[in-house]
Amino acid sequence: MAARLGKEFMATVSLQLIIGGILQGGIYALAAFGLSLIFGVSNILNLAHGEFLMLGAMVSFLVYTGTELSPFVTALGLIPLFFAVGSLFERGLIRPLSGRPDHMRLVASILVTLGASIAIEDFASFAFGPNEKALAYTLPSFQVGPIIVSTIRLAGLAFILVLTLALHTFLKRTYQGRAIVATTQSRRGAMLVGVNIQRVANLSFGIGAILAALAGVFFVIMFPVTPYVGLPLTLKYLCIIVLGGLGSLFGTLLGGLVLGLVEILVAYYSPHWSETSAFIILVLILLIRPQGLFGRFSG
Amino acid sequence: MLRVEQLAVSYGIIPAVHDVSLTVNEKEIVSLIGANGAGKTTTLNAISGVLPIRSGRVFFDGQELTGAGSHRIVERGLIQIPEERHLFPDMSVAENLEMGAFSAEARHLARRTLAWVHELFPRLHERRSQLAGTLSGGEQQMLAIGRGLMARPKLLMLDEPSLGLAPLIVDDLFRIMVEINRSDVAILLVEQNAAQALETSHRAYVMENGRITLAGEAQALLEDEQVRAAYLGI
Repeated sequence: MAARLGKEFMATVSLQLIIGGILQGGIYALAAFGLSLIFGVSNILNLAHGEFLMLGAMVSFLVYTGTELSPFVTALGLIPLFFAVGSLFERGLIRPLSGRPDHMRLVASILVTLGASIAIEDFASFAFGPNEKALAYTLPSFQVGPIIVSTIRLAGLAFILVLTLALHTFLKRTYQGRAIVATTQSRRGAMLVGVNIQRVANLSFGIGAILAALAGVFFVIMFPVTPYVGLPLTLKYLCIIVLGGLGSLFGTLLGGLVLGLVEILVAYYSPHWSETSAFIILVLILLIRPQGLFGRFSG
Repeated sequence: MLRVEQLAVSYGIIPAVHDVSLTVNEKEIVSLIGANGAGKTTTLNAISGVLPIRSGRVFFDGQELTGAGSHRIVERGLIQIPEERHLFPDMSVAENLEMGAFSAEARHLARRTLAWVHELFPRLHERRSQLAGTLSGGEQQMLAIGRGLMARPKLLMLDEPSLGLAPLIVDDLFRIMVEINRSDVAILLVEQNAAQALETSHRAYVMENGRITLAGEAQALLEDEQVRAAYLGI
């Protein structure tokens, strides 16, 4: 009897852990995918990427505390807003760097986006206050047999799934989307078939910012957010990209899922190691399979 | 059709090409021959807008293209097939060809152009769902040319199409090049294989150390003592 109860308890806990892990992984995957897209298209390391997530989370928090509007509705409004943010970011800070040799541009982009990241952080702490913000948005849970399932987590998962499918369709079926994918595979090849590289770079920043901001909407439902979460998250996304393989968009998605699951599972069994697990995985991957799960070795 | 006037290109402060002037007329095959590092590829890259031009001007089809973005140059029908091919390795052969017809005008004609490309390279039709990165060297070169043709070029700039390929495949490529030229596509050909290039061309330019040192009818260059000694190994 006791053994059966124990087993049921374990099944419940592990299912909830896995749902939580997939959701966290999905949030990681969304944001990291944007970073991967930007890197793949422009060879630019956008260290301000986590700030887009933080801003998305802040806006979502403010809208919810002000109007009690569901974060899922806010998310739809964030799409055009953050497309503009990302697009302006590229136009104002990144495009002036173009025309330099690749290695110089990479270094310049790191300095410029790191500066932008610190500036955005300061701005946010001034505008929204430095304290933690948690969005207490809940939906009634429901029960399946012995398992209690959180509706909001399922809704979050569904939202992320729809978003991923929409993104996939865009990249696979539209000319602009294909131009983005082509540019990540061969920048020179894309130029020679008539792709406007600058427009594609701009588009990828817009899309990247949208994905990060939407990830922020879910992030603030699950974790408290301060203006300072951006840069540490950016580092985690870099781990995910390396984990999945530089230049592999699909690898990034999978890398995000893997890291989310690992973190949640580790957090359950030994909480202290959860935050570190990303970097442990990174070191292991670099030792065992330096090109990442789905990466190619070619330059 | 293509007129390049006193083109100069440099990498940083190191000059690579100086004072290069050349023309390609409609329906012509013109080759640009010369040793490794003479500046042939740099010249093509500057014409196609991939490298910035330091000085000089490029005219194509009656319009100036100097400093226009590479996508504008492709739209006008001036297409470069690069030596390194620069295919999209994780896309299928069919998707690569579709990307070739990216500019607006080429998109409308894509289906008809594809039939033509498949006729020229039946192998590309057989391999249409294979990933470009997994093709053999010869097949990749066919795909690179096919992708270029999908853009409906008026002038095709081919950079070392025969490099690293087996002699039989090279013969095939030269034959197909002549066939493409018969469909009113002018060709500017850069080749190490000077003998075969000159035999196929109408006119030719010889480049040395970033300058054009000799120009003329291909037949005349084939018989030129200097050219024979330096490039034909005779």
